[in-house]
Amino acid sequence: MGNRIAWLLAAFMTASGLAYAHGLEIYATGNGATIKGSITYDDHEPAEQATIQVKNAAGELLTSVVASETGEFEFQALGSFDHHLETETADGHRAEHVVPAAEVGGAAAPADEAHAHPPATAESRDDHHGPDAAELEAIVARQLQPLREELYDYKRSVAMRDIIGGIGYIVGVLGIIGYFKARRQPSSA
Amino acid sequence: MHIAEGVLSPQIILAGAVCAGAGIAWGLRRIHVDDTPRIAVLSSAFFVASLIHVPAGPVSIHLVLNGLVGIVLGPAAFPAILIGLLLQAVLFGHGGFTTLGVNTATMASGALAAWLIFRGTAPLPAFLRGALAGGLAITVAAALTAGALLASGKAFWPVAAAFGAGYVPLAVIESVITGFAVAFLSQVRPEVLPGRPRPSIVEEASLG
Repeated sequence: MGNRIAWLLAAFMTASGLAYAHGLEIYATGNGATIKGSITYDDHEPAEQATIQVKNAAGELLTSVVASETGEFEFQALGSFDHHLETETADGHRAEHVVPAAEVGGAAAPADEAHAHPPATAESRDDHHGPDAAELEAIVARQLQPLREELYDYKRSVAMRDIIGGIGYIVGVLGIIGYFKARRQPSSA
Repeated sequence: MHIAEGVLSPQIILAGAVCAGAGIAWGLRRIHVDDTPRIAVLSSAFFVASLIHVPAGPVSIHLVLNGLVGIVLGPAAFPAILIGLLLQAVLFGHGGFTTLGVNTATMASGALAAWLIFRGTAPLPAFLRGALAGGLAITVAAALTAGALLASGKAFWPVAAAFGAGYVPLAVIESVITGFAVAFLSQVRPEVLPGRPRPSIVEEASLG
């Protein structure tokens, strides 16, 4: 009977699609000069107005950002280095995320462009043959964004195999405990 | 209710580990080999419960079921909850590893409170006994979790707000669920509830 309840719970969750655990996560990407992201619990409930601390690699606090009611936030990147984002909620959840230096530092890119392709400045003043490098980067980043979010979602979802695996481990551990107990306490049979 | 890594002070983590360790040692000693299937089932239910979300306005809450675990298992709730929490941390990324001690201590204390209150309310109808025990288990666990956070130096009002209003809906829902579960068990399998004498192997065989 108790087995039925446990299986019913597991079946209910898989019937409603992937189940979600309850961890707090920060998701953020850098897009040149700004860093944008959201804080959510794994079931996509937003962590309303949570405070995010932005630190550098040495752990020094650089600034602090407050998320909106939908858990979203955006702020100016503070330079071309890894931004460590950390947040903690009052009920004991904590999450971190590092936005790598490669994603920020949009201010540096145009300068590099002019340096690497001096002849291009004459051409770019003419009629546009297509997007220039900075525009191209922005377009590609925009196209990749939904894919990255999907991948992120997939990584933190809980599948049936996790549930079955966990229950399997529980049965195994209790079996081992039972074995040792049986050796010491012969059952009444 | 599951406290994550890096939130608590080292002293509280250590205190939690010591309390949990004592409870687990006590629980393991009292386990009989015939109890192990029942422990496995309750531990699995606890493990899976944290995936079931309870809509509670702005706060995101999940089921705990430590009341039911406590009523049926008594002191064995400590190892059962520890195993459940460990697997939730490994497979669901829920909770932390250094905080296994504290989380076990808070939730298993709630389970123990449920066990005691259940045994002390024998004259009442089964649903009511289960509901009281289920609600108490959540209240005790939430209070201890808030206490651990406050003792680690967190600001008072945010913690009080998170564990006050946010946990009332969960306490109500768990009361109802535990009440129904106990009522069901008392009709179908009364011997798993404390206070009923277990039939001997011979009697069980003749009961079919």
